[in-house]
Formats: sequence, C-alpha cells, structure tokens
Amino acid sequence: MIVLLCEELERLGHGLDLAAVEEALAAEHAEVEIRRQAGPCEKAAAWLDPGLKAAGGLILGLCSIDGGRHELHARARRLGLDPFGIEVLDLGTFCALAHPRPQATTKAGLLLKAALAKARAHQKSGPENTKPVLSWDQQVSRRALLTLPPLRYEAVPSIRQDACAAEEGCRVCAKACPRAALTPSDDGRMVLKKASCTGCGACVSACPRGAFDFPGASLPEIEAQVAALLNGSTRDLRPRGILFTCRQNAATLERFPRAGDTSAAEWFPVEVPCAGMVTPTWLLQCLDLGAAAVAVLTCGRETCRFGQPEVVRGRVEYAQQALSMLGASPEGVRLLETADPTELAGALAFVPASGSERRDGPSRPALFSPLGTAQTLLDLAGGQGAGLDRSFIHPHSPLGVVELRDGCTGCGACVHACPTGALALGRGQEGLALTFEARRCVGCGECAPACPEGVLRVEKTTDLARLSRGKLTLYRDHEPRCLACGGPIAPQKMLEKIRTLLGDDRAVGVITQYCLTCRGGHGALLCGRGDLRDWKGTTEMRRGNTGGQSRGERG
Amino acid sequence: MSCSRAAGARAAPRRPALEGDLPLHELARLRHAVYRVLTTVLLYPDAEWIAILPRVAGELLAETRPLSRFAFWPAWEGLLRSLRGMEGADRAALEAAYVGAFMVSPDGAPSLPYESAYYPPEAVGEVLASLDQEYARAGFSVASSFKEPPDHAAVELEFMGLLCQEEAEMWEREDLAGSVERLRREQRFLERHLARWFPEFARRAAELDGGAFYGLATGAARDFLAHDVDLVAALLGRYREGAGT
Repeated sequence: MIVLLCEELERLGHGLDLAAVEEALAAEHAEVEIRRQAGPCEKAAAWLDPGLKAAGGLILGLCSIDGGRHELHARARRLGLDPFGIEVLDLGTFCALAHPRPQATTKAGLLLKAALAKARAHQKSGPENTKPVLSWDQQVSRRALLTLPPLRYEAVPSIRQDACAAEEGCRVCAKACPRAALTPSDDGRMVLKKASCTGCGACVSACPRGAFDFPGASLPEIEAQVAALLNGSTRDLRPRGILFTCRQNAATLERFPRAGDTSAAEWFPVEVPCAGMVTPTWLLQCLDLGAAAVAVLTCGRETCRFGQPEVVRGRVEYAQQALSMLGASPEGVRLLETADPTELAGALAFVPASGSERRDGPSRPALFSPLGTAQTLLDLAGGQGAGLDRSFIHPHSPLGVVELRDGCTGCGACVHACPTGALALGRGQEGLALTFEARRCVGCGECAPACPEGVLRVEKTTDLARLSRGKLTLYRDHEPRCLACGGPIAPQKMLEKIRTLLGDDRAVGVITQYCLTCRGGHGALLCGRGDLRDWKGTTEMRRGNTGGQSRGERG
Repeated sequence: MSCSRAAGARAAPRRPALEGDLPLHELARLRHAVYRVLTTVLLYPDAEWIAILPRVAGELLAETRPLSRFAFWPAWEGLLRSLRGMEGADRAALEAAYVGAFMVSPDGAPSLPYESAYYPPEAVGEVLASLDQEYARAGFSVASSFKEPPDHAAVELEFMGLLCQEEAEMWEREDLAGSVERLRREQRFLERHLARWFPEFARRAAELDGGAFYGLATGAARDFLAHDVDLVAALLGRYREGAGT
C-alpha cells in the first residue's frame, strides 16, 4: 500500500501537520509507504507511475478532488492500475480548510486509515464493472457527430452468479433498481443492462445474498471504511458522526468550508455513489459500531442517479422510528437535503450524542448486509436497556414478518422462493415443519406470490421479540409413509387436498400411498399391480385439471 | 508550483482534460485492427503466424496513444507484449499449446473455440443457420478453403472486424445513416453471438492455460469484446436520440 500526500496540505487553510499524519499512520500500518508529493495536486494523475503497480493499493490525499478523478482514472488505466481501487481523499475540504490544525491533522489521519481499510477490502474490478460514458457536446455539429468525444468510465455493479438467487425466482435487486436495468434472462439468470444502469448502487445494498460486486462501493469496502473511522484506537474527535455523501455532491462540498463555518470536525464523510444506496441497515449499523450520529447528504439534483428522494426520506424516517422505539434519540439519524454550503455547515455544527455511542469501539465485525439488521437492532436495544416487547410497521422496514393463515399444505414453494433462508422446511420424527426465522427475513415478499394456496402474508414489521427468538414453527404436519420404501410421501394436508381434487380417481390410491420416487421412478411397482395401461389412460384424461396436484407434488 | 486552493484561489469547474477527440472512422479502423489481430491469434499457428504477428504487435506497441485511453488497454497491452516476445518462437511448442488449449487437453475438457459448443445439442443447427444468415446479410460467406465451421471464434471475430471496416468507410464518407446501420449490425452480432458465449470460452481457456499465452489471448479478447458491446451501445445511444439523423 502506498499513500501519496500533497505537500501543499501543510499550507492550505489551517494546514495539516503532515509529519504527525505520517506518524499516526506508521504507528498502526508499518507496512504502508507514505510519500509526499510536490503540488499541484490538480495534476495528481502525473504522480502515477508504473512502479505503483506493485503497491497493492493506492491512496491519494489531495487538497481538492475538483473533477480530476477521470484524468486520474485514465492514467491509472494506461499504467495497468485498477482505477476503481484508487482511493482519493479530499483532505482540503474535510480537514485543512475546515478545522483548526490539530483537529484537522487528527481527522486526516483517521480518514487515511479508513481509506487504507477500504483499499484492503477492494476486489479487483473487471470489464463487467466498467461502463464507457461519452461526453457528447451539447451543440450538435457535423464535426461532433463524426468524432468520438472524450471518453470516461464509470463503475457499475456486477453479479456473482454463484451467489445470486434469481434462478429460484428472487427479484429483490430488480425491484430495488430505479432504472429497470436488472432483468432476468431466458435461462433465469439476472442480467444487468449497463446502458440503463446509472451506478447508484441500490441493487448492491438491497441484495440479501451480497451477490453484487461494485468496485469502490462494495459492501465489504464501505463496511471496512466505517469500522475504521469508528475505531476506538484514536481517542480524539469524539463523539463521532458518519456523513454519507452522494458522489454527485462534490460541487456542494467543494464550496463547503468557508470563513465562519461551524461544522464540527467529528463528522466523518463516507462517499457513496448515490444516497439511494444507503439503507436503514447501514444507518443503524453505524450507530451499533459506535457512531453517535449518522447523516445522509443527498445531492437533491434532478439528475439524481437514484431519482427517488422519497425512498431515501422513508429510510431515514424508519431508522429514526427504530431509534425512538429503542428509547434512543431519533436525532441520531438525520437527512440533509441541501445544496447550500452554509446551511450544510450549520446542520453539521455538532454531533448529537444519541446515547448509543460505544466509546470502546466495535465489539464485533460490522455486517453491512441486509441480514445484519436484526443483530444491530438487538445490540442497540441491549445498549439502551430497552425491552424486547416493542414492534412497529413501516413501509421501509428492512425486516419483515411472515404470517401464515390456515390452508398451508406444506408444499415448500415459499421456502424455494425465499432468498435468505428465513423460511425453511424441516423433516423429523414428528413429521414436516415449516419454520420462520425473523432475523433472516428482509421483508422482500418473494414468498407470498409463490404460495399456491395464497395463505402467506409478509408484513414490513420490526418486531424485537420475534427477532430475539430463533426459528418459529409456522406449520407442522404428519407425513404418511410410502408403502414401498417407507419414506415420507407428502404432508397429510396436501394428500387430503389431492383426494378432494381428484375425488374417486384411481390415481388417488397410488399418489397417497407411494412416494414420488416409487410411483414415478419404478415402473415395476405399477406393472406389478397389472393396471399400467389403465393408469396411463387415466393420467392423460386428468392432465388438464391437475394443477394443484403438480404443485403439491413439488413438496 | 502550488495548488490553486493553497494559493487562495477557489477552483473553477473545468472540463476534464481527457484525450482529444478521435474521429469515428479512426475508431472503427482501430477496432477493425484489434479484431484482425484477435482473429489471427485464435487461428492454428503456422509459419506465417509466427513471422507476422510479433512484428505487428511491436508496431502496435510503438504507437500506444490511440488505444491506451480504453479500459481494455491493460489486457490488450499484455497480449501485445506477449506476442512481441514470440519473434522466432518455437512453432512446435506454440502448436502444442494451441492443441492443448482448444483441441485435446490432457488436463480435462479443452476449451472449444466454437459457439455451438456452449449451447445444448438441439440448438447447434439454429446457431449455425443464424450465423450463415448474418454473414450472408452482410454479403459474406466463409471461404471454402477454410476448414472450420462458421461458428469458430476466429470466423466470428473476423466478421466483426469486417463490419468495423465497413463502418469506417461509412464514417469517412460522412454517411451517418450507413454508419449507424453498421453499428446496429455490429451490436446485433455481438449480442446474439460473441457476447453470449465468448466469456465462458475465455473462462475455460484461462482455467486450462492459466497465465500462458492462450489464456492471456482469450482473456484479452473477452475484455475487448465486453468493452466493444458497451462502446457500440454508447455510440448508438447518441443516434437513437435522433441527433444524428
């Protein structure tokens, strides 16, 4: 790992004590090489050389990012470096220009440590993560139409098919995508249409399987960065707040530190491609990791990649409601919808102590996946001394509760559709049991339409009592045994339904007395009964109205 | 020299100083050249192969400017460097590598360079017929002297190269409608054929050949094709909006 720092940071604004920054880094990361580069850092692309290829990671601490990212990426690409793996920190905006020298120096050290953690979690990007974007001239001219305009590349997510549950019917990412860029292919695999993707990352944080790679903003990278920012080894600058900022906000933030600004040094920026990526789970998990407060700064632009500000508001509102439920201050989570630097600085004047801050830092690794929500809420409840008899319903709840009405036949279609394993079918001496584990449910609702009986319902409920329990049995049934092999045939209720559907059909006897393997796989069984011809004829006559039977047999 | 911020100036928004504009006919010619090189690389290595490709690679490496702006550059550069180093290479060793990678592998199933090998058996006829149609529609057919089926990787890559060449000619004539039509044809061919099977072919080749030449070559081709699908889509996006017509 190599850290390149612009020397001008010593003189910019209040200035940074670069020697102290280097010392702080070296104390924890002896393996990291720190180099000071002579300015100007607007031309930081020129700092890159082929020798950096072996560095294993690169972090740039600059006075300003100021749109130089694409030049940097272009040069990195030419040198064979992974451009999306280069961490660029605007230490001017967030440190030197904003805070007195001692605070700015401490903050710069922390931001660099977090960038190192993020760079370590980076997985190399591939061609599937790269989307060319052509910056066409606004004015149409003959010449413009005949030339390739300046080309830049944006990162887009890619899907790890081995982790994706699309083939089982999961559509969570497709529903989360505001641009309909994710669609299942003919063979059932989820496919990302790069041309439609804006790189907002909503799919990445929504996927309950963590099946997306998104270089520069993958879950492991964000998680590592936040955990490092909240690490307890540096005692100064506490209590700390995490400020998720949309990448499109660069222009607002560039104008942010002005004379008389009142923003507190304790707010630490975490840049994400779009505020649409930030889920309630992330907000709460920052608090669980030790943040005293979390804020989301949206770009508020018409060109917002996510384009659904009401969803971002809803998520923040959910997190605030969850905090209230736990007896903590809802002030711990806030939404900042402004492009006015003065207003922004005022909103960040101090980090409100939410009462949930853990001064000793995180006790366990963070889990920025949807499945980490339950643990986070229980941790926060424990920290607040809140009882577990609390619940609330919210449309943006990252958790859900499955309820089952009478009529389940135990076919298991819901289990097959559930992408998180919250629903499971178990077989034992007592028969078959359909179980539900609330802490694994993300309330995606994929199971409800899969139920052939229409008896399953999902509610966007956050229920501490259910989260604290393990598996709950929703349905239990006896399974008659196969006359041939002794194995289970199907749940009793399903067999009863088959009897009702088929009436006095001769097939009923076979279906209800023999398991699927014995009646389908061994013709000898039927031949031995001497009625194979009749049996086949009967089946053909009934084929048109046995939908319930075929669904039931899946169980 | 100091940073504009350190000097007290507030940075003004500026257009990124990226590479200069590239005429689209030159872009099409560059893509044609890449397709030609990839075509030859995936053909059985003969004496001519060894005599010409290293020299061509050397020439392409000497003038990196036009291609190094593209995201597929690292993989492409790696392939060119490897090719350049093959001047006077042992042909028998290269032939053995080709056979091991694409024909008969002692380490497991070879990575077959035929599109139909990546579909169920019942789809083979459809794939071959579809390719013949595509070639015929563009006025081409596979030469009778070429002893491979029309779904060989080299044939499909060469066809894409020919489409790029036609596109370049259209741009040179400033025939926008003709150029866009060629781009659409390229997009259709990429999406229906190369983009569908080549990544799996490259993956298998990399498994078998690892960091050796044919693993590197198929990897570079895969990266280039992935980029070409996106680039053609981005170019067409402009004209789909009606600005170009």
